Amino acid sequence: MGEVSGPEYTESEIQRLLAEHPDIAEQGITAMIRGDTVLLCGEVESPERRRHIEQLVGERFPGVTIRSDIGVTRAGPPDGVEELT
Amino acid sequence: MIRIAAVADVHMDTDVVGRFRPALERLPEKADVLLLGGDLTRHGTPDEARCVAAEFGGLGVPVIAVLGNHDHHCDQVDEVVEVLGEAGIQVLEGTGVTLRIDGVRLGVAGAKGFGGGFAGRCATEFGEPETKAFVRHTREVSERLAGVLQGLDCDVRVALTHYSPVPDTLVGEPLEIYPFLGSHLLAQAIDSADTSLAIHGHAHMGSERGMTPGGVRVRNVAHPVIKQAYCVFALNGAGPTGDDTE
Repeated sequence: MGEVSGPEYTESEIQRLLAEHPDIAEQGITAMIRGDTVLLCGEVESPERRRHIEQLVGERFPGVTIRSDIGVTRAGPPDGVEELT
Repeated sequence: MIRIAAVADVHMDTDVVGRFRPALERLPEKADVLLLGGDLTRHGTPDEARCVAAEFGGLGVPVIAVLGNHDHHCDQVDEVVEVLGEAGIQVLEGTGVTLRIDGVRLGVAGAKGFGGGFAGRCATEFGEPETKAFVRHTREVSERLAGVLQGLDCDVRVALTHYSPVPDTLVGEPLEIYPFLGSHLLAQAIDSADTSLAIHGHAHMGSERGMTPGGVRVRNVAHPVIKQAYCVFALNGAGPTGDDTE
């Protein structure tokens, strides 16, 4: 199993890494392989988590370039009320 | 009018403490109750629950929660519930609570829910023991939710789950993972009573609005979906006499 490789398997490996790593536990990050670049997309709850994810993927796949588009979800007050009548 | 604030999937840990609190400080001016739709923590540890307690405790309105799959990860559910309870955050699981708000009785029935998929494209209790156990859990949770909703003695009835009762609020998620995001059995439970609103989370890439086959409004309040500290829904409250108590 470990000798089989390809972009799909790498995407799957990143997804599992981010969900199952004890310090990460993120299920909402999408990883896409484009050539030798990994694109990371999604949202997290803090800038620390974004940095940690980028660092972890970089350590696990040292030969690839990481382009991260991970955002930190805004947590401001609501700008209105939805009336359900 | 009853004003219900709601958010889910806040995934608290020490690095998130303080991010929601500024928007929550004036919550009593904007809402009568706050509902938390699960995945309150990252891994479901008591330490993370203490972060939830610090962020969402002592707000000046009742706070009612269900847990999510993340809150179960470390198998410390009892400790998590205890920590939240000490902070005044009431956790529902196959249970309900009734609050009196300006003379109107608001009933909230809560359960984590589970997956399995949606009518016509769902898993069934057939085959391997693992498959049967998966679907059985959803069925049993849904049956308990139905019983609680039907038994609430209230004027306005709200269902609170983590998993989604409808596919409508999953739009944006990959179709392939819908069976892990919710079940139509939850919608069936919600439709079995005179429910006014169903709140859920879990689907970070889903969408806000949906409706059960029975016409009950469904709202996905996952934090990455609503992109604000919480949403507020205003519901007409018919009092015991049938009067609008706005």
